[in-house]
Amino acid sequence: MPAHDPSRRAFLTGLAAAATLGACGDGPPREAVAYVDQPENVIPGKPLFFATAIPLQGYAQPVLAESHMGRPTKLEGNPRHPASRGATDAFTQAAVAELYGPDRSRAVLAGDDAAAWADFAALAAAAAGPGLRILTGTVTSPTLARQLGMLADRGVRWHVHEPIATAATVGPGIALLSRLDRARVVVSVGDDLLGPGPHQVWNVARWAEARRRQAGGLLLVAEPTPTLTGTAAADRLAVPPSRLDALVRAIGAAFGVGGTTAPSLSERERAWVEKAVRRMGAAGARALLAVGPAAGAEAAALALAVNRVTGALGDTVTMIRSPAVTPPDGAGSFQALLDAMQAGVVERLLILDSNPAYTAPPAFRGALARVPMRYHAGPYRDETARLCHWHVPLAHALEDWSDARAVDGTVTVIQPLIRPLGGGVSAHTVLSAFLGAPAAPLETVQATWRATWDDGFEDRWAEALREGFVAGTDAQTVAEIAMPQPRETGGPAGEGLDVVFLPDPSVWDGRYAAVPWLQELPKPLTKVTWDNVICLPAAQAVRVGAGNGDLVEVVVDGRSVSGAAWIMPGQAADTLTLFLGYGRTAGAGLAAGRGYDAYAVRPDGAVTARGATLRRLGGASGLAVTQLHQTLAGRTDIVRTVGSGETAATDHPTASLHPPWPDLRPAWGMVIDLDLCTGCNACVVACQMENSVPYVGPEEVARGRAMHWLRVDVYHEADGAVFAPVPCMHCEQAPCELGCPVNATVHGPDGLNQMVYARCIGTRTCSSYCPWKVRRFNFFDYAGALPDDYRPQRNPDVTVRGRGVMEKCTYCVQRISAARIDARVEGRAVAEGAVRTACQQACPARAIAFGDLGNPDSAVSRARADVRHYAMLGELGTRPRTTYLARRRRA
Amino acid sequence: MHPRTALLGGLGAAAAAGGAFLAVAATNGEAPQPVPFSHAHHAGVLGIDCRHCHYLAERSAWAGVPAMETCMGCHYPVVARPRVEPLRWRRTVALQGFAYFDHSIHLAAGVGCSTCHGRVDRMDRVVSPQRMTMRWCLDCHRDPSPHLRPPGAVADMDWVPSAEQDRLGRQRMRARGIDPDRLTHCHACHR
Repeated sequence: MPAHDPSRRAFLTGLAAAATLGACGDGPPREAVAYVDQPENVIPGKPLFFATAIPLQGYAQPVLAESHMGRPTKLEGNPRHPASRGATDAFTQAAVAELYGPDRSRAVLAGDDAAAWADFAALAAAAAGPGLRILTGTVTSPTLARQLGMLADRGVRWHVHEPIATAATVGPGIALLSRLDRARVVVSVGDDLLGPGPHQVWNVARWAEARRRQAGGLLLVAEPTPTLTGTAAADRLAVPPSRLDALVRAIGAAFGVGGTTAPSLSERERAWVEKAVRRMGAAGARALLAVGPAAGAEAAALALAVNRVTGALGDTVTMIRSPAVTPPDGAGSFQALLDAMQAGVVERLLILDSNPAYTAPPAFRGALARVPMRYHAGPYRDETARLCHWHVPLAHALEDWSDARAVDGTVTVIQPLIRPLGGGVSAHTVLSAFLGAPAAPLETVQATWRATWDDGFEDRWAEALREGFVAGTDAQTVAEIAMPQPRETGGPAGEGLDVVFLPDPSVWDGRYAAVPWLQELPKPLTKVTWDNVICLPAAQAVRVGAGNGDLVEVVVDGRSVSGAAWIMPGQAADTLTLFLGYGRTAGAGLAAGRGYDAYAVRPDGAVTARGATLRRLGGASGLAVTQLHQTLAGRTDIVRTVGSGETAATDHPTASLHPPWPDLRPAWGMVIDLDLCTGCNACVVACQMENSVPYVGPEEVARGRAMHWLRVDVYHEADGAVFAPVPCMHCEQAPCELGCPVNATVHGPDGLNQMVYARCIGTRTCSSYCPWKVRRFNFFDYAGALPDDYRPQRNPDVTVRGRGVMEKCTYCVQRISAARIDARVEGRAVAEGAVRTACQQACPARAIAFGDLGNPDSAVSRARADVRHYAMLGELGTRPRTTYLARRRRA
Repeated sequence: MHPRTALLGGLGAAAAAGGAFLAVAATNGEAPQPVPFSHAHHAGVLGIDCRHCHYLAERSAWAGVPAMETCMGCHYPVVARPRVEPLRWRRTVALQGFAYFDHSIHLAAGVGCSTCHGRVDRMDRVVSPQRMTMRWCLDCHRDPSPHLRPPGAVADMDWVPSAEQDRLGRQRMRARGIDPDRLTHCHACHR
């Protein structure tokens, strides 16, 4: 070749250089800034982990927070914590994104004007007295309770409003705590034990333990609308909410408690009750009857009596001193405040971290106007903030000191990882201002524990911070209480439809509305994002002529709401489900105005309503759904279910025209146990936070461009559903690798299917070749389009993907690399368990095994040897490294 | 000249000019540093070990920029230290964000400081001895044996391979479990 003839390589090199010049703006950093004083224990380039907790409805969700030189980037479960055992839920995973949210309130406001904290503090100091009331959500924090107690001494009355009842209580200050790991049969009547909420991680971890031990007959569920508990059931009965009470009474009658006459049941109901009673009788103390709020207070009292008769009380369910502090007016706390407000005796009201203007019955807004001076302290300038004279931005749990109890009562000291980003103030600071004794939250929290611990404060404090909990603070069990007397009630049969109000699985009661990752998190059973829907049974859909997404109107007690219809398989007849948390008008960021506001038709905080009517309106709502196909197209063995001892594997040819890769170790592989997956979505958010996966917004989701590296598919069955988490399969003979024209996706020696962003030119061939459709394409600069506020959350060990680049699950290669480097520096092999992928770490059911397939003793190898092991679409011969354990037949 | 060749030539010339510019930018040792710090004096004349200041090199991906208190330890050993502002050094070596270089594993493998950074002990102002391109990284990843030093010699600026290096390098690769097949796949450096 003549010297002047540019070779292809030289040409491409030059072109790349020219292209690089054009994109110089975002090049590597040009400066290195030195510390003045080296902070202790910080190794730049390596993260630090701090044990702390994120409160969910007041209950501590224990975490180890990862910090990169002062930036919190990821929350991992705290494996030593007795309540969580190292797992987290989806809300907790998203808390680190919420920390950086641009929609958080950042200024003290007097009316609409920015004001100084000092002005508010001066005002607050003069406000405490009998004319002041304080309204909070659930309080488990010993320090907050102490401060509220000090205020009570000055005549300040404290009230609690919580829109979603989560903890079953059996009397003042006494809560029920299920211990599903001890159960041999769990009968749930409308109790979503495995569903979202403060108890989810506690319950799912223990349910999974029981499930590992016992294949069939563990869970019997009667419920009006499918929940994660119902889909996991061995026998699920769909009944309208008005029938739940009758089912409990029938079970009660069988055990000789409650009324003597069994209520009349339909044939299907009777069969379910008989089965439940038979199983419960056989299991004795290892049976658990759990009753949800939809069944009513009488049913809950009956269930308690039944559990006492069977011996379950004190075994599979225990009565504990409630981690939540009981307000002066007990269960009637909020009503007492409402009455006082309406009577005009409330002169000043402090609303602390609660949004009652949105979540409380509409009467509250009217009563609020009668309070002459209203203060609001909350993370967002929400509906309530806009109705108050003063607003104080509250600090995030990662920004200041506090403490809280987990569902089992164990105390976690909450320590900050970063100074308040937007000038947020701790709830303790707010209360200390009202106490007229301004104090830093650290002093306030320490004062609580100094008084609790007689001696050795410094050591015990240091240990609490290091471990992430205070050992031995789990709640005392209560042996005996005056049993509430179940009364015999018979609800009048109503005209019209039953309605169930449920918290939204992604945004809960609405408090997470401003977290876009949670908005874009597909709801487990509908896969709808960014919206809530009105679930209806197929018969009602036919009657009103509505399909998925069509606008329908629901009228309850003369109040109406309209939203998108969703035909829900397994929905009880004549029953509608409304999801709370949408229809926000303020402080909800990108979700403002999305969905419908179910609070508007909710009667007085009830979980059910009767006599509703349904009609179709014209038009449809453009729902952004991530699972579009309603058919398996004849492929019935994508998710498999086996009976005891049956093998799940199918014979298919393993021959390949492509040469095998050399057997090198570690050979990374993953096995996902479909029998344990409850579809809770914790893995999905954990993956996004770890790998800096952006959200794209509802319009892009509707175009099929959601970026989740890990999706959870749902397959509805006759009376339940199967969830299948689908990450990249890391095929040994990967079709994508053959498809890529520029070698941007190639095979690594450890079995990883590698994605090389810098090489990718965006042909999307790999994605079209992928049978599992796990590749995600950056049609736009999604990462760059996110508000800059979120940038510090990005994982510095993961490349930010630009426009026109394909991306997908990497098996958290940054964690593999870190473990490999650490092992090499120390001159050893990577140990089993040293690499835990983000999805695996978060999973409350421990359904995901990951490790070295070359090590026969590794958890993943043992899982692969299970008879239930199979490869999804294994017949294609691509030899996936991600494989599955079939679901076990549950009946 | 064929039109296509002419086009290629033109583009190539433009690109080559860009490349030349990049080469300067990437090794811009002449950019003024905030203080006239001399590596030649500290590492050369005084013989201070690289790792005294770049204390992270054996433990972290980053070699570490010394904190100001490290400077003060020698310059103000007893007298009251002045209040200082953090120094904002100009980087002389900067990799693109998608390349994840790790100092600790290179030192553990026996690759010395001067192998990549040159004779810093002779530089008043540090200038990178070469453009740190992927090809240059790969040259070593494909066969690291010429560069592998005995333990303890990684910070030795005067180290030169002995006549035995060919044999010793291969021996060290075996002893340290260094397998070039695993050094040349994408995930070795990219994530």
